[in-house]
Amino acid sequence: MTARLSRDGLDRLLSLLKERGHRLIGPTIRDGAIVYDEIDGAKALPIGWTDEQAPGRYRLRRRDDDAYFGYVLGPQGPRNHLTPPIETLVQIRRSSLEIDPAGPPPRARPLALIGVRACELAAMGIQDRVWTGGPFVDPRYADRRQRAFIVAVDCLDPGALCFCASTGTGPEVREGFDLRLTELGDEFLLEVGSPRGLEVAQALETATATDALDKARRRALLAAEETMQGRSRGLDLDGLPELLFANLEHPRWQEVAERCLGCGNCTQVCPTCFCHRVEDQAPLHEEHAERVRSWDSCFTAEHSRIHGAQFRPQTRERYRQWATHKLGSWVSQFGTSGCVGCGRCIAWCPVGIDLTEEIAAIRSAPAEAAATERIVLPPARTYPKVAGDPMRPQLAEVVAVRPELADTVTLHVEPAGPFRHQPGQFCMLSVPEVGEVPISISGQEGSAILHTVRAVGAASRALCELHAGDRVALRGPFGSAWPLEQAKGRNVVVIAGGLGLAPLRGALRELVAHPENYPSVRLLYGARSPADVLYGPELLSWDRSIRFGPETVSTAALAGHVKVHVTVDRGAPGWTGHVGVVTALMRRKTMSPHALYLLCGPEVMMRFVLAELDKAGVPPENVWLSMERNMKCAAGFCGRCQYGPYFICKDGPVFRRDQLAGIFGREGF
Amino acid sequence: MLPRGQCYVRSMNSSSMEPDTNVVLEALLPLPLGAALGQRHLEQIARIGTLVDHPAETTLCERGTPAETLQVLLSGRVSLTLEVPGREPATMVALSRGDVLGWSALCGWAATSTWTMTARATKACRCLLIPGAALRALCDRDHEFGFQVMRFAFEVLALRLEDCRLQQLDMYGESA
Repeated sequence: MTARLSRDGLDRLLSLLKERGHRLIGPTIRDGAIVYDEIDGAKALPIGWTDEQAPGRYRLRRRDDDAYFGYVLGPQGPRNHLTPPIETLVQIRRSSLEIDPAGPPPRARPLALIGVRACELAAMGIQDRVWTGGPFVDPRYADRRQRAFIVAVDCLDPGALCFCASTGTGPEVREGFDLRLTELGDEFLLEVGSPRGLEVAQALETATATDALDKARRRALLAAEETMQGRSRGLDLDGLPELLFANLEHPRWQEVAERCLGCGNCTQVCPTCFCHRVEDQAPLHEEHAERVRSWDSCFTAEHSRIHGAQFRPQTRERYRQWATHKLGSWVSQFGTSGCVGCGRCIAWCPVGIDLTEEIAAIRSAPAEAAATERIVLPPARTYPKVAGDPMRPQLAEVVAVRPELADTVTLHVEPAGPFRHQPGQFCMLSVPEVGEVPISISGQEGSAILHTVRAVGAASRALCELHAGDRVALRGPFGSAWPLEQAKGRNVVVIAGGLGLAPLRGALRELVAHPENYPSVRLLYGARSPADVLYGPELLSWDRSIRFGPETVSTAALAGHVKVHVTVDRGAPGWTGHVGVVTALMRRKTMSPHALYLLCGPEVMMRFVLAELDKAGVPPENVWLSMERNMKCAAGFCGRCQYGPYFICKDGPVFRRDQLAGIFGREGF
Repeated sequence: MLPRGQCYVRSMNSSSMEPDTNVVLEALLPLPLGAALGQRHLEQIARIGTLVDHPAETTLCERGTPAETLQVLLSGRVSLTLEVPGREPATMVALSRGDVLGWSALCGWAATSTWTMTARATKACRCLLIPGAALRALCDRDHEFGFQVMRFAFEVLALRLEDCRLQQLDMYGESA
């Protein structure tokens, strides 16, 4: 349905949406900018105002007419309301660890998003893939998004920084709206885009649209598009991911880093950025602890921290991460570029860095083919959806705590609800009020799920201090598993270092227990010292040739298919085993190119292990490794654990080696 | 501290202390040294070598004593421990079948080297003991032989250095 709507009609439209229970969110003037905030009605719109934009510059200016939507874009879009900058995920009663003791939070009024531009609609479509594309769906976003009534507005007067014509995301609003308005002089051309839009439109007093009005719209849109095309600013998306990943060492990254302040403004105004952090807050005077997510930026130090160290310490690496993610790996992750051509990152950059200019510079002078291995960008995956709220933990009871090393324990926890997992996956464990950490599942005994935890930070220390009978909050299982099905009938070599044995123990127990499926299993394990060897007695029990007493050999291991070799970096009195790094141990054994290799340990160890496997001619398809990054949400929402085109939490942690070609061991990833 | 044991020298040829060259050759061939050196060079080594058996928990070589022999481990395990007064002895590496120890004996042209670490048999082991002076004399006489021996030793040491660097990293992090 197409119709004409007067200015009074727009007022009535907004009143009607309010009457129908919507919270009106639209453009309004505040703090010297056009912001996207709650409005009362049409009078709150920036009538007669526009905004002038240039690199590092944004100014309001009076128009010489009283257009309602005569501005370009403010710093904020619907993102602020669909994914609020600070949002409580769950409340946990401190005394009993009850989750959301007061019941789920009351459902907020549905939003009515007024004046949404084409680029913003495109951004919302991209965010839909982030938050609802699977395997997990964020029910908070999904609910807000699904109930939001969208009144979109064609963009007839694009700003100086707009380049949506080149990204194919504007200026014309084509889809994804309930109602579309085109402001033509004193009236609007109204287009209905959905059944609920039709319901609202029918309740309005509208006039029949004329051909002249429709033609005027087409002419105005064409003019807008030509305006943009007439400018030099644009972004050629063709082959851009491959171009950027082939130019990771391009000198331009350093040049831009010399100007970039690393402030993260670009990420805060970008309508598609989604990185956030998740923290537990426990005010002393409150009975409840809250788990809160808040916007973050890949430019912050915390974003790329792991085990207390930064793996993107330089601004150059952070800017490169942002740009290669937005314009490159985004395509692998979500099937679309992350840029919609709104130009906000240019206007709101304090030093006026122009993304389009930076990319054009790299395109015009690409680096010569590097000697380093090429990164393969996989096509976007489709994930089977997992039901439920991935951010809501369940309670689990600690039924036993087994001390392992001086600072490491294994928690035996029994989740209250159903729990199925595969070896290699991990859980998010937390002592509410302290924090949540990813811990790999190190086995299952009866209904107890085993997690081996080393006390390194506040959250893991709190976990290590738990006793049998205590309760813990648990989310998961998450992530990919070891390829045990694929390993059937093959020789398997497991190479682990330090605590890296924990994610492998579940798989090893399977391998040990089923000699009929796994004819030969060899474990090469490196630890710091004899006192740091994890699961010592269990390791001995797997290998029939290690005889400390007949009782140390498990029944399954009697088949003799398992060989265990342990080495330590530093020997100690009484230690008669290997001393030296795990790679030295590898050199003593025959590494068959046909065996299947499962690796987990510190990245530096895996780097040298992979080099040894290369020397032995083991093809990458036969090597699987488990990776680690700074995971906060574990559901693919928070962006913390990005690893090139992957998220460790949902695409990993277990990867086949060829998936990580060119990424593994590369600085800044 | 492990008890200091004797070096038990056992001849493979009862009529002489010299082992049977063929026995030594047979033992060396499957080892990295056997793979690196040709038959002629291995025979030269076999002729100057002595087979030695060390029971478990005996000391092969003691820190500070002259390092006059290169030893090829034919079986068993030997740990190399750095002993510093006032500190726990630090075992830096354990050697197994095919490894060589006592490479200082290869560097004795200018002056006699001494053992920097103490070598102990953590498992009963058999070694081929090669006198450093005789080996160096062979290298001097036959440069092709010398080149092959030094190349082998260099590769062994390069890998040991790489391993030491990794050990330096303390890559498994703080724990006990």
